[in-house]
Amino acid sequence: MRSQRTELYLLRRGGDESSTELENHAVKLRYAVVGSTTHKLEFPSNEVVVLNGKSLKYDLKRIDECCYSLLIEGFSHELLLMEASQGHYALQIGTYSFDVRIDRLDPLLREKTQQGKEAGAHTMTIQAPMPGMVARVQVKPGDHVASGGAILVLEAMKMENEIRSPCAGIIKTVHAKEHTQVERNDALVSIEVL
Amino acid sequence: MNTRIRRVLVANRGEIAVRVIRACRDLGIYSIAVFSDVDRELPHVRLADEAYCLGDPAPRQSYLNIERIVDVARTAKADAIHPGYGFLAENPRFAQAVCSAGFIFVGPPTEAISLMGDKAEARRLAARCGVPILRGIEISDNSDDSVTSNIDDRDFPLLVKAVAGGGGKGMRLVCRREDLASAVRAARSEALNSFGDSRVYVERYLEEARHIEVQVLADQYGHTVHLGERECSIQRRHQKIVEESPSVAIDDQLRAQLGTAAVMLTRECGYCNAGTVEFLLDKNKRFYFLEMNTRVQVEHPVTEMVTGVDIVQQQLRIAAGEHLDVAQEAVRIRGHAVECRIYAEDPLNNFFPSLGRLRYLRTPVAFHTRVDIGFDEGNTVPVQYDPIIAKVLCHGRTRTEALDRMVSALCRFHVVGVATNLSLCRWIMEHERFRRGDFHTRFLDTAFDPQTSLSPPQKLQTIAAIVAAACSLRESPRALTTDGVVSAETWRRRVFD
Repeated sequence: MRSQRTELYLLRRGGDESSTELENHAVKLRYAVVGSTTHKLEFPSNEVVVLNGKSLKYDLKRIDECCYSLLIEGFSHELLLMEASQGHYALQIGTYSFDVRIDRLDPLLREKTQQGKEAGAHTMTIQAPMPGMVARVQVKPGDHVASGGAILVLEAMKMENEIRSPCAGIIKTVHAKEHTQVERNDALVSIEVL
Repeated sequence: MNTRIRRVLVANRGEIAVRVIRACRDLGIYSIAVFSDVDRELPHVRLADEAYCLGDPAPRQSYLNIERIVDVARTAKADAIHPGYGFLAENPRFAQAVCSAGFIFVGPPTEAISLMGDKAEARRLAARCGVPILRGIEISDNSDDSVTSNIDDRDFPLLVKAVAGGGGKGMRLVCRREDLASAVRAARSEALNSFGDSRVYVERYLEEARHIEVQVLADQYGHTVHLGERECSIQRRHQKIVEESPSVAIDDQLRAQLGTAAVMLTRECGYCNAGTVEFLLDKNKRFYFLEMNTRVQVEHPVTEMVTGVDIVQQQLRIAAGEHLDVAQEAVRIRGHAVECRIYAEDPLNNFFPSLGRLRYLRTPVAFHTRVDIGFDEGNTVPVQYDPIIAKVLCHGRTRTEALDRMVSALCRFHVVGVATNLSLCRWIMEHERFRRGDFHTRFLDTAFDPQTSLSPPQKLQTIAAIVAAACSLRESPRALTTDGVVSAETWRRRVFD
């Protein structure tokens, strides 16, 4: 079932520039950030998930537009997947709501690398979350940005993705140029954190 | 049912319009719905036999437009008009206009609405009947000066309330003298906007009080009964969200006393049809008359569940001139019923309305569970009206059984597209103090912390992580993203910006 989906996925994308995507699919490793906790998840097969090193038998089925059924080690859960975009997932289980961020790299490791790269501890570099074309740059050096403020628009897979600032600060450097291609993890802008 | 009422116009929208139309159906009465431009797709329009557009969604142009609604009733050859709750339900000018145009008003006589609509008048009537009232401060000319100068420092904390009030509007709690003047001004302006009457009065504020109300039914021949009490102490911003019957704070003796007081007031004001007499109950189980609501209440179904009396059907029968076929001795409270009002609002964001399209909607179906709902999947919760989506009701032989059923029901109520208070309702149902019956009208203000109260169990977080990660492997983000859907977080930002 998954291979069929992957094929469709490749067809839709014209079958080009997909080597990175395919590699990441093949790795089948994800980091999920829920609240302040990061979980490491590996999917060695369609029936097994390794959650933080613990192997669990699972079966996930989509029931309708929003409803999913998860059987995990015999336990049955009904979930609503309310929204999904760019690694961000909003789910509901019973009356509880969850916002989950999915990453292919360990977010902790990434943070450390970033901090290492920067001269001052108070500078943060925003990296491209996916390969794409910089459609619009909405800030220039010296601009103040609020947390959640618009930085630039990255076009990928025919979708415009707004990149927002994770913190309040002042724009130090704009690395990205409009109408140029960026690779995943390329530096987009550097922000002096306030 | 006699033949005086064959065609009923329902001058309301949403769940209560659906409720009234159902009662009409049950009685073989032809139903006529009205709707504003934004409500064209709501179920009440489809459920009715006929439906007419009122036009502009602004309440004053639609559901509050007396002339327009009476015109539609003429066009549709209605015999009677049912006002539901809210909008024109307690407006004596509307009741008068309906009667003058030759229609039957499914509600009390105009005089009773006027009398009970003036909260200061209603207090005086209660005092004359010997029903206890909270010490009030009479304000002769209703000027700001007269309000402030008559108040003693010992009177605090107090409530400033609109004379024409209801639904928590025009109400302010004041704990210190220096806040009084601004509270009076705010209450006046809110009262003027909501009721077109800026008069206010001041009442002693009872701390740790419970809100208890008694359902009454009276026919045109003076036969008056009560159907026991409802407890509505769980409120936010002076508006109820959880109601139950019977109340854990009321024993048979107190129930009889409250019932007698309610029936007496109902008789004294020349009342007919269904009504609700509201009381406050203090820590020492002394009760005080608060006000009378001269209409069907949002929470009427909890009484229906424990008594088996169809209140809306009774309203129609009484309006048609039938004799009330409910004898006081025959009224029995069976088991326990609880109601949760499901609002499109965000409990994590000061209960701010969360409006939008109900992209996905599933309601619970179970033994002894009832859902009164005014929307279908795909409908939009519009900005113009109260953001109530539905009422979920559960019945049980005991209170615990009813509350347990409610928890299951809430977990099976699925909404995507707007934020809801489902998680808050569940938190209340499971709260140890609520379970014990140890609560009062400020329960939420004191016990609920939006930062921590609704945080989910750790185990479910890992379940969410697994599903999100599995989905990210399986499908492209495009396939999962749906236009027009925004997260609660984005909504919060959007609404505030």
